[in-house]
Amino acid sequence: MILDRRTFGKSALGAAAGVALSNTIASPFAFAMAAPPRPNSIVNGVKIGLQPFCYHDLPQSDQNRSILIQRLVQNGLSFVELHATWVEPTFQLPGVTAEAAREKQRQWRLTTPPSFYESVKKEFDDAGITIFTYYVGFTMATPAGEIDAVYEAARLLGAQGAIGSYGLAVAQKLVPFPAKHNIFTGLHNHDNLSDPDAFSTEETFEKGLAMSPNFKATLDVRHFTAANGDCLKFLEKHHERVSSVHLGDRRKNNGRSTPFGEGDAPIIEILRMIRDNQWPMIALLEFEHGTLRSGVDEVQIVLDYCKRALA
Amino acid sequence: MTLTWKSAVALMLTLSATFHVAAAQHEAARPAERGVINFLTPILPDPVLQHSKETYVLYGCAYCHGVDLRVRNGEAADLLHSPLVRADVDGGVISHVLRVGIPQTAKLSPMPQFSDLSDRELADIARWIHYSKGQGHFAELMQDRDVVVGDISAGKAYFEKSCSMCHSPASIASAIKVVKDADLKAFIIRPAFLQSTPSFDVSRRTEKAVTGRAKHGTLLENYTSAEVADLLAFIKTIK
Ligand code: HEC
Ligand code: HEC
Repeated sequence: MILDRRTFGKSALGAAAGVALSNTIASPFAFAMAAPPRPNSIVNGVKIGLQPFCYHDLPQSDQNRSILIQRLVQNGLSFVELHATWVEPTFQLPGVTAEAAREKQRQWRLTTPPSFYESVKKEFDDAGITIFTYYVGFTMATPAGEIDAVYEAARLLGAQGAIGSYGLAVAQKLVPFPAKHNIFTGLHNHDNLSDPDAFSTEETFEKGLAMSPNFKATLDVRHFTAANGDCLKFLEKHHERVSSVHLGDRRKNNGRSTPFGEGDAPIIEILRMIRDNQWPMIALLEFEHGTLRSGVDEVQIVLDYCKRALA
Repeated sequence: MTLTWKSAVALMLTLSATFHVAAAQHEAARPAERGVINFLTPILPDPVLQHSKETYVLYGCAYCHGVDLRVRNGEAADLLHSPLVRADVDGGVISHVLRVGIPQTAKLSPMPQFSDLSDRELADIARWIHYSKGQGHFAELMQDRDVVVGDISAGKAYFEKSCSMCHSPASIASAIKVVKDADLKAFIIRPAFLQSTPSFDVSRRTEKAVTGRAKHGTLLENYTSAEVADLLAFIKTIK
């Protein structure tokens, strides 16, 4: 598309109103002229990022990655924890068995060249967004070669860590990988207190963190609260081993997710603790409470809540 | 129907075992999707039902279980085929699960409890699940066109057991006189009145209308393919 004066004027207005432009403007020249503002989500020294499944209305797929980037820019978020489903093709297609899809995924991970991940990184770089961590789930059945490829992918994406949802046994398997790729492994908790292998309590984190100095805690404050844990005490004691918090709200006793401020998680106190101690850990917004608003609007409300807390 | 605590828990345990395998495949089990989705549209003509849907979305159920009960979050239970939902007629079983959650589980992230929701909210959520299950199951039944060949005598027996307290074969025969064969299945399993907005005019809320709607809702959710094939085979003989 070629821009004439009239359409440029409109686009510029659009940019001022925070409308994402990359759909409508194809030429690099036009883009340079009407580039949207670079996002900046460092608030009083505290880095705020997003676990982008918070855009509940945006299915996580590689095909939706460009919309994801537009939305992050629109919300002014400059850090992201990127789930592999935004990067890898979808293998689970109609008529394909779960096993066949897994096998294709494995082959894809083992054979995808570095240039692919570098180009994905560039998409985020160009928009002013840092991929803080790469989120991939592993199981006991994941072969070492595949884990190695995923850790290398994380490094190529510019991530500081690879994180996922798994328990102690899988974590033990991951010990060799972070140092090899010069990133950390993030341990992430849920609130399953019935499974001794699961990360859920301070004690289970301590077991995991003892496995390797390259392991760091991603304290999910929603789940920790739902598991009746004390987030503030945990951070006070373990902050040097905490890379990030997943910041959101839930009720205690395996309670439901709530909008920020309506549950039992001490969100404001956590943010102020990070700010006042100048801890380098990042606060990644993550929520599962439902909303009747659009994903962008809900993320903005949550982000504004945090900004107010840090003002 | 009311389910006792114990039988509800027994059902849950059976299920968690079934879904344990699915949890391990979490990563791979994703549908291909492009673009933005809207949980709230289409806006339904019945505002009571629309409100029920919004309550279900607002409390986050849609995010894990899907607004149309097609699982979005790999670990969540499939409510479209859940024996627990099947066992629920008046919302009692679903409300019970929501009040206590499912803390004992092999899932990474257990189903949370929603104990602070009001009875109304729980009833609204159950209403949406049942409506949505009916729609989802209708789509499934319509898909298995002609796969099963119906048995006329089994269909007659089914009619006598499940329909005859409200309909005579003659009344069904006259209702379907103008219905084309190709439309018969849909006409029988999802009669048009089931899709209409219920009236709150007390003179029209007769017992027959109210129980008939509830009964047809339950039938639609739970017909098996074989039952439908048999029933159709029988009904064709009386047409
Ligand atoms: C964070 C994701 C999540 C949310 C939000 C959630 N669920 Fe669930 N739900 C699950 C999981 C996971 C299971 C399976 C639990 C198990 O088997 O251990 C489940 C199980 C259930 C079951 C039992 C089904 C069966 O057959 O065992 C019902 C009913 C249910 N959920 C309804 C709801 C409703 C209604 C809501 C909203 C008020 C809701 N859920 C919100 C994840 C979720
Ligand atoms: C509890 C009572 C009840 C039962 C049981 C019941 N129905 Fe109905 N059915 C109704 C009511 C009420 C209507 C609404 C129309 C009416 O008032 O007749 C209806 C409508 C229908 C219609 C649409 C008729 C039309 O004129 O549009 C069909 C077809 C039908 N039912 C078939 C069945 C079949 C087949 C069964 C058994 C599998 C069954 N029904 C069981 C009460 C019932």
